[in-house]
Order: sequence, then structure tokens, then C-alpha cells
Amino acid sequence: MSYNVFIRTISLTALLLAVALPLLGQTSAHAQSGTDDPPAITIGPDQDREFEKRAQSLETQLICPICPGETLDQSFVQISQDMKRILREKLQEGDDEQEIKDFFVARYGTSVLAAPPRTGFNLVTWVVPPIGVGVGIVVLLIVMRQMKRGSAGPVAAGVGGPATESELSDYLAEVDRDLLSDQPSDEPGEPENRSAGD
Amino acid sequence: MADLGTMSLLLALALAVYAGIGSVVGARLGSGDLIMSSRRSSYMAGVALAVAVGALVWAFVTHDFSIEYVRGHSDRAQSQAFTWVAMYAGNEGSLLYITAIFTIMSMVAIYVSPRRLEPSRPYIIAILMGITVFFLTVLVTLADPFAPAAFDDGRGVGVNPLLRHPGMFIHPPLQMAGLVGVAIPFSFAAGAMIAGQTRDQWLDAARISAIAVWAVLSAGLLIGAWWAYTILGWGGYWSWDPIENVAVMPWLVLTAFIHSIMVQKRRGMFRMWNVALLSMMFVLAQFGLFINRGGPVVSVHSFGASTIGSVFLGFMIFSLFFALAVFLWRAPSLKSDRPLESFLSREAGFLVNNFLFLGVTFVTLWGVLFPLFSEFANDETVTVSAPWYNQINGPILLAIVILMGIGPLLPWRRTTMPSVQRWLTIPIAIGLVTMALIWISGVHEMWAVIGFGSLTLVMSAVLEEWYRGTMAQRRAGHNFASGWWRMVSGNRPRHGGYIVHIAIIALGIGVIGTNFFQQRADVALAPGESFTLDEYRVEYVDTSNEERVDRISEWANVNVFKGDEQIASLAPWRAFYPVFNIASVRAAVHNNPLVDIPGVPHYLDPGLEDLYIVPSEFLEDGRVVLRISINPAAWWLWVSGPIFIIGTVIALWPAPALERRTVPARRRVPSTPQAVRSAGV
Repeated sequence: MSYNVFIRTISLTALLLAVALPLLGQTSAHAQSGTDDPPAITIGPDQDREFEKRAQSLETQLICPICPGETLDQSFVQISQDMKRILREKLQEGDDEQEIKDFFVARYGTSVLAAPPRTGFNLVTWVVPPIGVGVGIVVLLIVMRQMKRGSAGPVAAGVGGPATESELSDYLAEVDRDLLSDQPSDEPGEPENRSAGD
Repeated sequence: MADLGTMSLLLALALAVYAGIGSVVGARLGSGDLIMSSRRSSYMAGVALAVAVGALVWAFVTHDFSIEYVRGHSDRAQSQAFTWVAMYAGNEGSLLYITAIFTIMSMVAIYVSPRRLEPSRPYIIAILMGITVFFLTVLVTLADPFAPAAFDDGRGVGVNPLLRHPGMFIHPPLQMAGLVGVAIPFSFAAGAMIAGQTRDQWLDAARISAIAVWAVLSAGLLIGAWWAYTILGWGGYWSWDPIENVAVMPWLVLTAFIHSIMVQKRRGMFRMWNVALLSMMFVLAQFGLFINRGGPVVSVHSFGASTIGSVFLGFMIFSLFFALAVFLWRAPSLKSDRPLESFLSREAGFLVNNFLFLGVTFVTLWGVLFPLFSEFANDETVTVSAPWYNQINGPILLAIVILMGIGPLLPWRRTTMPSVQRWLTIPIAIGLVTMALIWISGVHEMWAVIGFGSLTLVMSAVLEEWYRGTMAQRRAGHNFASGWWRMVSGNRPRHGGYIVHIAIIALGIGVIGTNFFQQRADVALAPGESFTLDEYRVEYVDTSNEERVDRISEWANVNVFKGDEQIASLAPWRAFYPVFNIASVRAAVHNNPLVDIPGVPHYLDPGLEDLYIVPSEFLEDGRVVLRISINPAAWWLWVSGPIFIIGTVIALWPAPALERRTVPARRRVPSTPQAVRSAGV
């Protein structure tokens, strides 16, 4: 890496971090949530952050049974407040996440889970997107290879209109492009460009 | 007013039918007069619909409760300002709004359509008016907003409390206009296909209208997110709700289109693909309408179970077949002018971009549809919600961000690895250094670190190019500011695009910050008690309340301390509406600024984190339940809006006629390769 590049890297990083870091420093410097002034807490005792974090993560994975598609953390109706309380009690008793989810599924059905379980038929939800994307990548590569080979061939003149019109517009398009390509490349990265930053 | 409204609707219907049929017949018979008269009657249909909207708005403003729709969606108690916008609060009125705004946008589109599209214009008019006729038929037969009330007791029911928010003035109109507006670029392309103008004559019209619609839709989505943030009371702004999903899917395809259309414009490639994208987008917008109007999914946003869902489903299927037929008919004449020269080229970059955007679209569509499959195939109700979307779409979105840094640096046609390296070294180095520093500073959320690193990569790639371009202008004797501006105005679409990318970076900072670093607590406090979350101490002082005809409002007055210093007094609000049995909240948000600019309101200062307080419940014993959360970087979500509007305006701003015609780039700014470089797209 040349000296110039090095200097530029450093100064740009500094500039960007000047904006980004204070932001992160703040978010990372989280002390424990204060217990010096213990208030009455509706939802579970606020013993330690780790516990609250686990409880809150569960809240985002369960749906309020009576609200349209809202997770527990989004909802304040009575039933979801109760569920928040129950899940904290169970966490405290030492149940793990799966046990708590199973408990609510037994009560309210699978739809209480914010994301379908990765078992049985519901596995389909999870595997279709990766398969779809995988197939898409293959198709994309095949298409790109074909395009690269120039399988487009000669322009099918005359299809969909009088041949003259089509040819004329082809010609005009060619002229347009020539006009445009009259200028040197407008691209970054062309080797001919004397790098302006030097 | 009801009579005027109904008459306007019928008149608009007649005009639209005439315009649609007349223009096609005129084109077939070669009758310029008939086409012209059809064109004018399509304008008049827009005028008639504007009158119908005016009639409904007037009925609301004057509390004309003899109209059922007015009675059902307003009352005398609500503030007068909201009566002006109450017309789109329900199914019938919003449908009228959609029809009117669509027809008026069509009117503008037809009016400004370029002369080279002359042969296609009758078909474009016919497609646009066909859509208008469909909407109007539904309005007149199934969802008449002017239907008389069964009884008129002089009082209205009132509007849904969640809609009484400043967002109501701007989010629904933009959102709905954007969603129906996607039909306009589609009509340009489809009309040109039908007329046989398959050689890019439609390109500029479709591209410009697509960018305009895209801007409207993006603004609508962003303002909707802000609305949700302040009123839904949980500190979020996007929950992958089905209605949000169907609104974002056309946006995703549209985003893919406004990228890949550049390849067609510059290189004469991807013609077939671009027409296919427009068709997909159009059908997805119809799908959204169907889901929205009595579709089979549950959502906070839907208009309730209305019976017209099946009509929209039918129209969607019809649209699908129509688009498919037009596409298959003309596909043979949509061949590319030239092959793809290299995988290492901007063309290839745009292809990958399209692939990723369609990937997100596909995943989202799958998430919306799976619960229905599950119910039919497996007889089990399941929920597909935020955790699923975040896990599946998250990585694809990250890939899009990374591509956003690399793609613009790839030149057209082909390049070599060394020259790519030369341009990418600095951005990638900055990205990696940033990740390392963030990790060292104590943030160990892997995805957040990678995300921030990628955003820095994009930002530094843009800055690198701007730096080089500006320095070139400086050597030509301009100072930094004017040099930068000359570079930008040398190629507005490109640099406008970069500014939009910067807006996406701001959005990304907000999304990562709020998703990975939010802290929250639900606490019940008695007066005088306080709770400490992170470094904020929130003290509950007392409650003030107010009773009105339609609602009981309560404010929780709280003081916020940081250390020993009081930084704010806030009064988050909660109101109960007995008629609806709905409570509505308004969060109090204190933005803790990164930089405190004296004399500027605190919410305009560059934001560090929001302290967000909502009273979720007032208890009998005098205590109040508060949801207190710290939402880091939420400010960046909203600041992305103005940046991105600036970028879009720059990208769309027409180049002076002279520049467009003759491209005398070399003469204008002599001797600097950079200046010339930035003259093309």
C-alpha cells in the first residue's frame, strides 16, 4: 500500500469514526441498569441485566394471542402483560427457552410463536428461501455465462414493427451511442485515468 | 354533496371508458382526432375525480352525517384539521382517493409523455384508463363512499384513534399514491410493447416516472415508520407485518428496476429483463391491494373484512395474464444489443443487485404466503413474524449494502482485477479498520460490527470518488465547494444516486443501532419514585388528565436526570376512546444529541440516542406503568429522509437542453479527465 493510500485511509477512517464512534462508545458503555433506587416493577424483578435480556428476547419471540401479529414486547394488553410475567417466573424457576415456548404452544397453539418451529412441516418455511436463493444463484450464473457468450446474436430486426422503422431506430441508437462514447471513459478504475488524487 | 360526488364518479367512469376504448379504436383506424378526443377525456376523468374527492372532503368538513361513510369516520369532537384528511380513513374513501390520485398522475404522465412515444400513446392511455375503470366500477358498485346513512342522528362515530396523528396528513396519501403509481412506468413499457415500439422509445418515460414514483413510495414508507415509532408505543418502526410487506415488495422491485434500467439506457442490454421487472412490480402492487382490501391475513393496518377482496384478487390475476401476454408477445424483439463483456463490470454488478433485491422480495412474499399454505396443507395456524424475516432477509440486505460499496466503482463493459483493487483498497481498508476499532471498543455483536463496517465501506467509496472528482475540479481552478458541485452537476443521475446511497447509510446506522442496542424496561412507578435505565434516571412526578366528549386523556409527567442534572421534563400521553374501546398513546422522545448545536431544537441535533417513554397503563393505586427505552441511533432513521429527497431531486433534475443534445463535455471543462469522466452516467 503506497504512502498516499495509507494517509488517505487513515484520514478518512478518522473522519468516519468521528461520527460513528461516539455513537458506539455510548451504546457499548452500558452499565447495569440501576438498582440503587428500586421501584415497583410490574414485569418481573429487575435483578440483573442478563436475566432481563433473556426475558426480553423471549418477549420478541412470542405473539400476543389476541392482537393481530404483535409480539409480546409490542403489546400492552392484559393477556400479554400476564404472559410476560409468566415467562419471567418460569425463567426464574430455571426453565430454558424451549421449555417456556413449549408451555405457551401447549396453551395457545403454534401460532403463538413469532417464527414457525424448525420441525416437521414448518421446516419448509425455513428451507425454501435458502433453496430459492441457491437456485437463483445458479440461474444467474447460467444467464450471465450465456450473455457473455453473446448468445443475444444479431438484433432481430423487423420483429414487432416495419423493418424500416426498426432499422432506423437501431441506426439512431447507434449514433447516440457513438456520440456518447465520443468522450473518454467516464469510469473509475480505467487504467488510463491518471488518478486525480495523486 | 353526495349527489355531486356520485354524479362525478359516474361521469368519470363514462369518460374513462370512452378514453380507453376510443384511443385503441382511434389507433386501429388511424384516426388522430379520435385519439386526441380520448386523450382529452382521460384528462377530464381526472378532473371529475378531483371534483368527487372535493365533494367528499367538503362533506367531512361540514359534518354531513347523512352520508354513511362520513358518519362512520368522523364526529364533531375531533379537531377540524383532521376532517380535511378523514376521507381516506376508511375503505371506500381511500379507494376513492387511490382512484383520483392514480387518474391525476396518469393525466400528468400522458400529458408529458415524449413525442417519440406518439404511436404508443393510445395504448398507454388505454392501459391507464383500464385501471381507472376497474377502480371506478368497484367504487360505484361495491364501495360507494357517497351512500346515504341509514339514519342521521347528527353525530358521527369518529375516526379510529390511531389515525389521529400528524402522520395522517402525509403518510397515507404518499403511500397509496406510490403503490398505485407503479402502474405508470408499467403502462409506458406495456403500451410501447403493444404498439411495437420495442427499441427503447419508452425508456426515458418509464425511467423518470419510476424514479418519481419510487421517491413518493420511499417517503411514504419512511413517514409510516416514523408514525409507528411515535404512536404504537413499543419503540419500533417496522415489524414485517403483512401489510408492510406487501407495500415494500413493489418498492424492492422498483429499486431493482431503477438500477437495471441504467444498463439498458447506456448499453442497450437487459431489455427483456426490465420489462419483466415492471410487470412483476405491477402485479405485486395489485397483490398488495388485494391483501389490503379484505385479504386473508391479519394485520394492524388492514381495512377490516370487506367483501371486495375477491374482486381485487380477480383483477390481480387478470393483470398477471395481461402482463405475461404482452411480455411473451414482444420478448423476441427485446434482445440485447451486445453481450456481457465481463463478470467484472458494472452490468454484472447491476445484475447481482437485481438478483439480491428480487431475493428479498421472494423471501418476503414467501413469508406472507406461508401461513396460508400451512393452513391449507397442514391445517395448522402459524405466525411468520419479525424474527423469521430478520434471520432470512438480514444477510441478503447486508449483501446489498456491501454491493452498494463495490458496484458503483466497477466501470461499464469490463475491467481488470488490479484496477478494481486500486479503487477498492481504501474503502475495504477503512471498513476493516472500523470493524476492528468497534470490536476493540467493546461492541461484540458480530452482525452489528459487520454491518457498521460495511456501511463505512460504502461511505468511504463514495467519499473517495467525490474526493478525486473534486480534486480534479480544483486543479481546474475551482474551490472545494464549487468543484464538488461542478462534479455533481456534470452527472446528476450518478451523483444523485450516491446521495441516495448516503441516505441508505444513515438508515442503516439507525436500523443497526435500534435493532442491536435497544434497551428497555417496563416499570410501575408511584408518584415520586424513579427508575434508572442505563445513565438516565426517570422520575415520575404526577398525572394530569383531561376529559373530552370522545376521549379521556392522561399525561404522565416525568423528569429525566442524567447524573444529578435534570435534562428534560417530558409528558408522554395516553388516551382512552370509549366509543372504540381503544387506547392510543403518544411517546415522549428525548433525543440525546451527539453534537449539541446551540439555538437548534434538540431533535434536530445529530442524534446519539432517543430516550423514549410511553405510559402503557395508569393503575388504580395511582401508579403508572411506563415503557422506558433507549433507542440508539434512531435519529439517523429520520434524517435519511431529507438526504434521500435531495439525492432524488438531483438525480431527476433535467440537464440543460444543450448538454443533453450535444454532449460538449470536453469543451465545457477542458483537460481534466475527471470532469469528462463525470459527464456521462
